[in-house]
Amino acid sequence: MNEPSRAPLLPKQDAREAALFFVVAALCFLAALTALATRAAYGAAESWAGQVQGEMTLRLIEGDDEDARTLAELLKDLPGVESAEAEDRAYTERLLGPWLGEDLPEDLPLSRYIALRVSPDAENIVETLADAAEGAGFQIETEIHQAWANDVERSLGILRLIGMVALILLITIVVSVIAFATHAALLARRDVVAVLHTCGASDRFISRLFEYRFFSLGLRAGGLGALFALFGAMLLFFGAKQSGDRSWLLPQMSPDFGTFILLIVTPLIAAVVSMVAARVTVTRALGELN
Amino acid sequence: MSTEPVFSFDEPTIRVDGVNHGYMSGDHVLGDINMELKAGSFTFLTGPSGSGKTTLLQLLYAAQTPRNGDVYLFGVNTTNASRKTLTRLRRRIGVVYQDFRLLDHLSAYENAALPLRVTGRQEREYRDDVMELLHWVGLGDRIQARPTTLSGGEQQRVAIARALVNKPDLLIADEPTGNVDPEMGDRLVRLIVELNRRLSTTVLIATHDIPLVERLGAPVMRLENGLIIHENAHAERSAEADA
Repeated sequence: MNEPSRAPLLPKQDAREAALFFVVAALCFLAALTALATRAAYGAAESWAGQVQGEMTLRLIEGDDEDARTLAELLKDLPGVESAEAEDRAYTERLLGPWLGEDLPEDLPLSRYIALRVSPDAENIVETLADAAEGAGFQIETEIHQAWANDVERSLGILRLIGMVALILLITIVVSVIAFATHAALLARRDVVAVLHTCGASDRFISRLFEYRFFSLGLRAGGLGALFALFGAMLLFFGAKQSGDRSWLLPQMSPDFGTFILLIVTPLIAAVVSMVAARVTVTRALGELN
Repeated sequence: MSTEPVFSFDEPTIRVDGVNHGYMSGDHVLGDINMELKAGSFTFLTGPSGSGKTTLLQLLYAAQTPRNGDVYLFGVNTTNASRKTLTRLRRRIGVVYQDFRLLDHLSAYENAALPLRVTGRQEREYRDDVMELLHWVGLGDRIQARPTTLSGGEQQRVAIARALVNKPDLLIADEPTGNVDPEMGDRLVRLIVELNRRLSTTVLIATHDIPLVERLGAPVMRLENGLIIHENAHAERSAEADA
């Protein structure tokens, strides 16, 4: 005797669902990459801010290496100054290298720099430093990195906001695409739905068939999108490594634990979003169908 | 063959009060229909093609609601019933469509078991019953076959098995013997009559098969131009009218 089978009540996916799968996968790829980039921008902002927090640079307008060392020793003892390190002429030459080239004439007057680390709580530190330097007969200019860091943080804040908006937009597109596809699928299978209704299927039962179908689609498409996003993140990571000294400028897209969590969560979110979109669409549409 | 029901209840299974129905196009299909089917009764619905039989049946199995008037199923007015109530009512009705409406991606077994599956019953509970029913309608060796590989008569038998599988309180059939040979037609009708007698299932069969109507001698309702012109008439009168 033949053994009875148990096929799904909705017909298997057709070409339209295959196309939908790739659309959702592409959207999930973009969403995951956006989330990773947003997270990386956040990480970069924190890292940069941490690095320059409390850092200052003094430019000794006139003077040699010896003058710079003397001034550094003097400033080191001031209240609020944690460290002061004089940089030599070679350091200044390296800074100017890209513009003036190498082997600068010995008689060319070059400024010297002093790297300072000051306490974040120190008050009127710029005035204190200027007074101390002037008292010792040195003319200086002060560059506060914190001001630059604030600008960077502000810019990255805007980037984060753009990332969040892009993420919300992508999720909205997924919802719209799924809702549209569900409605089309429902209309295409109107005959199946009518038979199920006549056989006593409730709206909830029929809705669950579509929910399951689109949950599964969202999960698979989200998984594929997340996988491609992982490749994208790895490319950026290795790209950053290739950049050597300048890699700190690139977003911190390292494949850490958070990255993997985000990539695992992407298909789950895609699945749940697809399921909810399908449920709402089917529930509404069934009321209109008959 | 007797069609006397075992039980009879005061509450009619179907009551139709002043139903007018038409389509958006403005075509008027049914006009001022009033009828009643007692619980456990066995009735034929006859009439020429285009007389509104199928539309009337759709109103009776709650696939549509009438534009005017009321349709009561098991005492519940379907015109203003909630969707949940309509679902509960549909679970008490077995329907055989003229065009079978089998799901092509499901096997004969799965199609027949559909009314049980959609109500959440476990397959192990109904598997044997469905298999037995399919054997009874002569499809024991075709349970895995898809509708597209079945003949018209075989598809009709699957449709009938699907309508009977949950032992409905009301069976509505649109030309149930239209595509089967007389021998199989008699066998299927005997099954329906048994259902009517043993379980007191109310039966309404729309048919052009006048010999069948004559053989069973059950009451006949005749529909012409959207109006019931003979109610509770008997086979002879219906046959005369069709002649």
